[in-house]
Amino acid sequence: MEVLLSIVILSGGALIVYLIGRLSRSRMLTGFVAFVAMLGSAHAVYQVWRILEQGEVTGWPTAVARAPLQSYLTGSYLGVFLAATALLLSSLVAIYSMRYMHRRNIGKFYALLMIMTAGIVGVGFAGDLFTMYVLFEVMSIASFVLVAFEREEWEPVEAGVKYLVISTTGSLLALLAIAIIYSWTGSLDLAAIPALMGAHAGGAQMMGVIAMLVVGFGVKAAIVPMHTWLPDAHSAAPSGISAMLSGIVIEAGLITMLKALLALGSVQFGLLIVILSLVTMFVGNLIALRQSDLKRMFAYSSVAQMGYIVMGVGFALGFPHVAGFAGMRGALYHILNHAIMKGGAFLCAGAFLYLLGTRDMRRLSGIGRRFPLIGVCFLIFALSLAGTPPFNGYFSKVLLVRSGVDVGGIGIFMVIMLILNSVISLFYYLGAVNTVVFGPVPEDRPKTLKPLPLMIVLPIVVLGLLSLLLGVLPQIGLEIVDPAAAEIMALLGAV
Amino acid sequence: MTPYAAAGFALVLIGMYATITRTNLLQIIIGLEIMARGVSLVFVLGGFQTGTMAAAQSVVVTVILIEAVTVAIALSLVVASYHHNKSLSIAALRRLKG
Amino acid sequence: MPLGGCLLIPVFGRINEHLMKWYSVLAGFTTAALTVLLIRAAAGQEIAATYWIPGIDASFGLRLTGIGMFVAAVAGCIGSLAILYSIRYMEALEEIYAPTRYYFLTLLFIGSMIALALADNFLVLYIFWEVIGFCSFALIAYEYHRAKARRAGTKAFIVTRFGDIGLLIGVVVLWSAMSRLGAANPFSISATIAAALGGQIPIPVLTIAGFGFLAGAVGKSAQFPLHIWLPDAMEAPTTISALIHAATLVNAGIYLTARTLPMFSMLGWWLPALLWIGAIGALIAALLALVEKDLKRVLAFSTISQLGYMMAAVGAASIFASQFHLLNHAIFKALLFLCAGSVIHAAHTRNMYEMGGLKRALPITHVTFLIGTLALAGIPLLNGFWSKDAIFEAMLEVGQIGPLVILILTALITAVYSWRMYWLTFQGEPRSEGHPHESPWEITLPLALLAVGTLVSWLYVGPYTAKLGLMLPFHQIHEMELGELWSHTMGSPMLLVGLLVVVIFVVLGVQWSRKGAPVPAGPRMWADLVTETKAFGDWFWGFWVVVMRAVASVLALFQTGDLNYNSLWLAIGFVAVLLMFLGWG
Repeated sequence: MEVLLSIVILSGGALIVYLIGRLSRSRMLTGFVAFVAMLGSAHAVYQVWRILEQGEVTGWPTAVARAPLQSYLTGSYLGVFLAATALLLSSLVAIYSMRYMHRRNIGKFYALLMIMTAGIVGVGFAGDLFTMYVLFEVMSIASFVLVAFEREEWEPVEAGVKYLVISTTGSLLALLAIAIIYSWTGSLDLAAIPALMGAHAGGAQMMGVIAMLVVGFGVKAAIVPMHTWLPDAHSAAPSGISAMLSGIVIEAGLITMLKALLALGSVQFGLLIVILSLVTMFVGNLIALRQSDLKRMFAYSSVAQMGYIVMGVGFALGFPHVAGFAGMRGALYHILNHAIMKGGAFLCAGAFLYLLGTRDMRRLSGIGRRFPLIGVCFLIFALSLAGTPPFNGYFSKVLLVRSGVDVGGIGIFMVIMLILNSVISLFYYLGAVNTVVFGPVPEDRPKTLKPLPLMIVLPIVVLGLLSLLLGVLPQIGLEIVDPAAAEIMALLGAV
Repeated sequence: MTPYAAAGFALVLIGMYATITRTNLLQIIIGLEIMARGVSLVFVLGGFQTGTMAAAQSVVVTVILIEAVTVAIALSLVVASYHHNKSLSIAALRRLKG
Repeated sequence: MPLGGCLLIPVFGRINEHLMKWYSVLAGFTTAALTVLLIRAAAGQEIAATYWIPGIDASFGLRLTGIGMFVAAVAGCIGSLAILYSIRYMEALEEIYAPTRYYFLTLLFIGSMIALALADNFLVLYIFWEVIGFCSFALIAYEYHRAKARRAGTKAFIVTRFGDIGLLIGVVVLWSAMSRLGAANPFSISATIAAALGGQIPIPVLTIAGFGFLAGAVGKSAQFPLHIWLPDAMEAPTTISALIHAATLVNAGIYLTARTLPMFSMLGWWLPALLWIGAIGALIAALLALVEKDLKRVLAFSTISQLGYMMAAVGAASIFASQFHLLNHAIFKALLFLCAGSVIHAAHTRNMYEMGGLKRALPITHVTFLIGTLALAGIPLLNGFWSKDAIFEAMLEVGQIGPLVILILTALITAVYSWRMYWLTFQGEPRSEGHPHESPWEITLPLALLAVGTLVSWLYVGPYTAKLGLMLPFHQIHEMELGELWSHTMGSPMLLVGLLVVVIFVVLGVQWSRKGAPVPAGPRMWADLVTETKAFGDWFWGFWVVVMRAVASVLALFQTGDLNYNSLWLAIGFVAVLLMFLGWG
């Protein structure tokens, strides 16, 4: 019941928020109501966690009334993890957008933000394939509109069209895979499918289905070469939405893929996913090197960071007994870290955009010095993304490296490539810091800039402090990551 | 694999082909719709094969609903794009690259 | 202590600038006193092991080891002197750059180095290793208005992190091996060394870790071929150069190799690798120093060269020699850098060809610089001589003739370039206009202290080795009394090197005083070319940057922005994944 509540609060809240936004036209009020709804949802998620901690099951329909074929929502540690990360980021984005967004259409903005969050929370808790797909689409559709929210500009519209077409193609491919699984088993229940696979398990057809799932959900997870929509959409969207997209939406795509693959039982294809991840991180990092648009650079860096995460997932799927737990907790921890640091980085970029109306790094040169607090946070996020202690990004990388080392041989090679990639990424992160924070101030910049509202500074500072906190005391993150990782590894038969 | 399923796959492939080769935005969206129909067909077939037609029907109705929403949003974006570019061709949508 | 201290810096900075500066001096000296007290008090026990990350069984352990404590003490003492020196030295920059950032980062730098040296936990070591890397980036790029400084900082960070790839892999490989053994604290350095000596860690694991640690140390200690960042790092304020070169950053690599020596000496190739890397690096850097015209860059090359000695000493399995040289080098190199700072402060240039004749204007700086130069060159009875001699002896003992010959050759070249550096700067007639003045006491006091240190630090050898031996159960160090050192050194054939250096000094001195300082008459193409491109390795950096950019532009061609192509990529991706899976299954 609590599981359903966590989603209903958000989606029902979206209606109320829309009305409030429409009637009051007050950004602060609308944003505040959205924020409260997210807190309410977070409380429901916390209740789910409490129930799971006591060793009981929760879901909707409740365990007793569950229909034989479909269990729509099931409480799980993975869901709690995803929901907590999503709600953390989206509540900060809600605060941020109070002043960042225009007054017009503010109700629509917050309603869509909440629906998108509801979709993410729901994907984590989904108990059957089709519910998962539906909630995945809810998330996607809300994000299409949000990317193209400022449709007076050409850029968001162009990005939105591309995003919509590619993403929909991908989800239809995944849906096709779900349909095939359904025609084999007659069931959509994630927990029931493995037992019903029968003769289909392990055959060539099964491989086709897996490929469809990997590619279909991989579009959202920005695995190269299905990443083409990402740089456009992430750079054109309003900054708060960019933070959400990079911080949690693409990760939600990956978790959706993971849940679907887990339903097919353990198949040894992890190494192939690791190879995909290798390509992904190289492409992301190298193209990011040549970007002059700050948000586009971060978008490509998201591709690279997804590569790191996917590598952990690949190790976990491919070598569940040897390196599984370390890889999975590394991947999940990196999702959490990435939400914090990339979310923060996009919010910083948004603050600069708010001040100067440009995303071009040359024209943003030296802006970080004018607002030292934002500048320092920007530095923290950049270093953290490059995996520099004592900020949070390094710890999940250490865990990922551990899983590769445990695999041995090829795994060690892979993680050397991973760390090499984080060195490559240092080029552009430090380049961005050198320009945006330390660079010379252009002469045509006005002497007086508008003040930066507290509501924009606050979320950035909170994320910066979180980044430092999780870097110094990684145990805090492990508390929520470890049960989820253990749950997945139990599904793979390795505890 | 039954011929019905093959028809479903064929529809999906046709839809994908359309998204790859068509330059008109509306045609691309029609391609997406064709893909969705193909998937629906496979679902119906699955329900028929496994004797769970009721579930399959509800699934297909939901898929149609989702597709309707997607296409509505797609069309609104196309209209916005047309206002910006005075064209429905994707050739006008190539400014974001690199 | 300084870690906590640095957090208060911004607070003080808000209240009052002067208060903040003197507070950081106070913090620096307190740290120095504490680290020295640690040496007196401690005997290898573990302190402050808190449960840190139970999820991976990591506890935050500190342990007082002989090497670590001395490295920490060096960091503390030299660091505090550098801070004192900064008070006046940095005044000129304060109008442009906020001093808060400077003192914050400096204290963080010193504090992290101490923490690194005392850590008994590979993960903690790795973290602080990166933190000092970051501090060096931020401090080298301190004068961020100059694009050169920004680039130098970036380069320093990236090149050292390139080496850190190895360190991280090494740390994790050992962690993996230790947790497979079921160790209670799999990150513990001492436990890992014990396990390795007990033969519990498989050789392949040790090989990977050994290679990784070597790469990390080579990067951090600016050894060939990852030395390329160090000369560029001279863009930093001179105090920071002194810190990097003498007290903190570069010592970290030497410390790491020395600390893990017992573990990796089981690998046959590890020690010779260190020897050769050290020797080659020392020679190349000394050759480059011969033709350099920038005073600070000469010192930078000499640091690379002296670090090569230390590395080679570790390679000869002589912890005593390497750590003794580290201590002595820290003192005289800090002295030289701070003198150079004083000189540059007075002469407003870093080009030695435009200096000359400064001995009258800067008497105190002159004397102290001379002492530093003599120590660097290894003139007998100054501290550099003793430790360098110890290194030669150690190498002779293990019978590594090749590196030994290279290093002796390097010692002779060192004599030439250090003497040339001194002569160009202080002797002869002034070669430029201007009226340089001696610096205020905040600057000369550290100079005087360091000069005294340079003269007498070798007398401390007895207690030094005693403590080293006491606290390094795995390293087999025997206590060496002062008299023993004396008789040992004076009776060895390696004394000849020292004497030869004296001869070189006399000959060159006589010649230069007759003909004037050796300023090149015309443009010297090859020399400028060699030093300007920072030869032997900079092509390496440039090459990879170019390759990366080229690959990036090719990859970017695939991001056409055309929706059809995007869909096509999706289809290609699907086909590729499908083929891969079918081929696999």
